[in-house]
Amino acid sequence: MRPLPVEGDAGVVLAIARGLGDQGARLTATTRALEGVSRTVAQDWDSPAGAAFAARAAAVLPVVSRIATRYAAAAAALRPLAEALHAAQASSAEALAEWDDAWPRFLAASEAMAASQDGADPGRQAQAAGHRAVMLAQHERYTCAERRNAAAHELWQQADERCAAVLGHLLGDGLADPWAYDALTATSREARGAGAAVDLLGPATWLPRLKWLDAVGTAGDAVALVADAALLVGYHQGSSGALALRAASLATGPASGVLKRGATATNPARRLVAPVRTRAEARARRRMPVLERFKAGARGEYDHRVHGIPDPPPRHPVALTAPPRTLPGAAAWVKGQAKARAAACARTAFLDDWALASRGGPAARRMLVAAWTVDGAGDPLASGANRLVAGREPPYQVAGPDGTDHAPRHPGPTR
Amino acid sequence: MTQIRVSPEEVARLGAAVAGLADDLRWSADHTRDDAWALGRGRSRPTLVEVVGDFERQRLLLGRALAELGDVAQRAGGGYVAVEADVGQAMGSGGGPW
Repeated sequence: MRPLPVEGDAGVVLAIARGLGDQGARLTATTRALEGVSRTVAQDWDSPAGAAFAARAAAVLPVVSRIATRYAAAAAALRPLAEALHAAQASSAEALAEWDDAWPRFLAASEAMAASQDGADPGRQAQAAGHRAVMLAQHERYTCAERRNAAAHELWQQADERCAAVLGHLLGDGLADPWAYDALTATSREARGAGAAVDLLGPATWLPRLKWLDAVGTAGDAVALVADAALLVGYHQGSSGALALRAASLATGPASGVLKRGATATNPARRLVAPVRTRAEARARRRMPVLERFKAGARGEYDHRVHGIPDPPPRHPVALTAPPRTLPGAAAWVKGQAKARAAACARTAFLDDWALASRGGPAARRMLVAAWTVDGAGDPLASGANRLVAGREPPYQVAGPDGTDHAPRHPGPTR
Repeated sequence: MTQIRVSPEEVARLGAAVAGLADDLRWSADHTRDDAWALGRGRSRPTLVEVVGDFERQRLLLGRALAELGDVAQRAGGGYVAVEADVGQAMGSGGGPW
């Protein structure tokens, strides 16, 4: 039986090694770039957005670094295998060519020797010894070829064992360990923000998948960035509302409603666990994890939009005055009413919510600030006035905080 | 006044590179798995397939995380261009009240 050749393609193995090596080099370069930018960000980008970017990069970096190491080491292990495969295949090919030449000669000499020995002619019987010598020589050739081919296989197998040992060692580099999964999940959860909450509320729960929920999910990372950017300018520098609005324009839809409802959500169930003795204990009980707040906010927004459950009435209702009968008087009345109502709405929509969110801890306050900025609430009075006017009367000029007329610049809040 | 000394272009460029990296990883794993026959019938072939494929879930998650990181970085870069422009405008003669 003809010996088997050494299978494989050294050229393709080299190409795989080159590809993995290049990939590893790119991953290493990206890792260094990410490290560099993260370091720069940590030093120079003194803001929640910079910290969030650095945190996300820091969560991804170890995994990228391990994949880079894995790819580079795999490439290094494959190169000697490719060389050994090339040498083994060359040796095997030579041996098989020798075998292919010797084997038919051996068979022919064997048949000739048998025919000579079986014949009655003494002359032909005398030739049997010569055929036997040829047969033995060809036997030596093809068995030698088989040994060379076996040696080629042995060469390849040893290289294969070494390569497999290195590759097998790489499998124990921890890349598949739960910590990597957890780190990435945490990164993804943090980065996706509201989107993660929407996933939690997905088909497995009572909440049907609705378009606006998808919109929240899509806007999740935008909300995260907007929240960071808004916190940069709106939380630490409360007067720079215009910057917050510029950044907040990245996010639209009901995201702000979810954030706001989540920020102001309380946790009544926790109060029932055991009686509280101190105010600090009560405050601690009221605090909810951020994702729970997202969940509560999404559920409240769902009830409001789908079931039409109205929001609680303002706790500071504005007394209406009768409009004047004359046109010039009506204009002044509109101004005055709008200004008064705007102030009341601002107090209700912002100050009360702020007080409520403050009792929920820093996370709730941050969510509320993000909700305000996403809402386009850089100018609370104008925004409150817009909310008051929307859907009830035709658009008209709204009195600003300084008493002058100006057109509403931003859409009203979503709730 | 908040000082922003990070180059938004640099962050955006890095974001684009990181987002492309996720695609590279996916392509590399698929391509290597298809070509693994070239290693022959030894132990290296299945082990190599494991090396590039046993972290499929991690790779998918990493791809998502990298894409998000790239997206956030690009948006952050763009966002802070606007912020810087506003800061510059505010510091100029025609700036706002803040």
